[in-house]
Amino acid sequence: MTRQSPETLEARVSEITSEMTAEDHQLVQPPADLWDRIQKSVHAERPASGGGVAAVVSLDARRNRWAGPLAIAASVAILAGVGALILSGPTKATQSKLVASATLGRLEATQGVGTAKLVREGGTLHLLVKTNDMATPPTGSDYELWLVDKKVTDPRSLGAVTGRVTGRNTIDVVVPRSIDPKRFPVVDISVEPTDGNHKHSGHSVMRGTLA
Amino acid sequence: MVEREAIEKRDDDATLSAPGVEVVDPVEFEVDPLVAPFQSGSDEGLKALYDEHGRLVYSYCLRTLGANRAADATQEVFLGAWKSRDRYRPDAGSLAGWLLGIARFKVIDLTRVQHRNGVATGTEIVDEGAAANTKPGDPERVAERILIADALRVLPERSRKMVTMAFFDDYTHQQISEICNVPLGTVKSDIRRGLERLRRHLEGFDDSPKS
Repeated sequence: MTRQSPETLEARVSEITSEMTAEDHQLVQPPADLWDRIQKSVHAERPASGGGVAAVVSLDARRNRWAGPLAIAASVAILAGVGALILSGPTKATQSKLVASATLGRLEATQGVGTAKLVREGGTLHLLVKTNDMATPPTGSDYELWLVDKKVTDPRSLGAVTGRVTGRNTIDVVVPRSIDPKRFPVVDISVEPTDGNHKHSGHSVMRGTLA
Repeated sequence: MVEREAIEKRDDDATLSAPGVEVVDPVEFEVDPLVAPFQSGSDEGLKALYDEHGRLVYSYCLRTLGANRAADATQEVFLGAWKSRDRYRPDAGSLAGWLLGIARFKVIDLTRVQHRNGVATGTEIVDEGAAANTKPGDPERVAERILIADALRVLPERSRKMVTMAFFDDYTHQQISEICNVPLGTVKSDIRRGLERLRRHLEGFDDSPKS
């Protein structure tokens, strides 16, 4: 990164300070349990066998954690709709539970296929989406991830995912508490023109239903 | 009010090595003792980081997202920082700036999602910030203002006073020298050191990862 010249820095500081109010100087104490929540979410990210300091957990490593539990789960459990809880046996120590999964089918010939897994970790729901061979989105557009109701009329955005879905990647998105996957079980990836229009474009490229 | 141009002209005219004027020492920064423990990935390192900067991040999230989502967002910011800890470069800027840079991207993403979902569902977007008696604003600008306030907070008292006089009250260095009854070189030195602290925060902010 280029170091700012003293003149540039001074001009930037002058511009910022000209807008400052007393409120900018006020700090608020976080809730008392927030550190515990952060610590739990970090522990949920660490490999189960890592008793000590963990390295950064790659998505590949995270994916591998599922391999055993998923095989066991597939052989002994019957998914009974969205929200069916599969206790993942040996991985219980990781505090990671598979809640539901979906196969994402391609809606366009040029797009890839994928899978989606809804996982509960440390009290937080994560949607992990793995795609294969997705093309780069058209110029001037982004891929966006959505959860949609069963009638496919009420999309809830989980944010732009361009740059994370092309190739063979796994996306890890926290599902906000305001979006209940039981009500919005359809995983949808759409192409959204960067035109400032916040509605779903209607141009979906992959879709599947969590069950 | 004093015009910036006039201040700079006077600065150029000042000779720091002139008799009776203190020489401005090169600005050097101590190594932040939080960095090594944080980058080790240990709980203790992250806890120390949270203890030092948790209020800063939470206050920013509260200002921009409102009370209902501030804690969740802060949790995600620290989890994201922990995952990206090997990408933090101490030479590029301060940890506080880097953390708030991550928080800025998180807030922008969450706000975008909220806006999309509000529009998509046809429901009115709830201004949680207003509900929490806070003043939402452009996440980027709010972050910069809070960062500057934080940098000022940790400055030595004399330096903070002089930076405040120069940037909030628009006094010239000469005027500050006369009002505070200290040599001009000392004023310039203190302000320069203060600006370096602000630079570290702003450049850390600029260098933070998006995810």
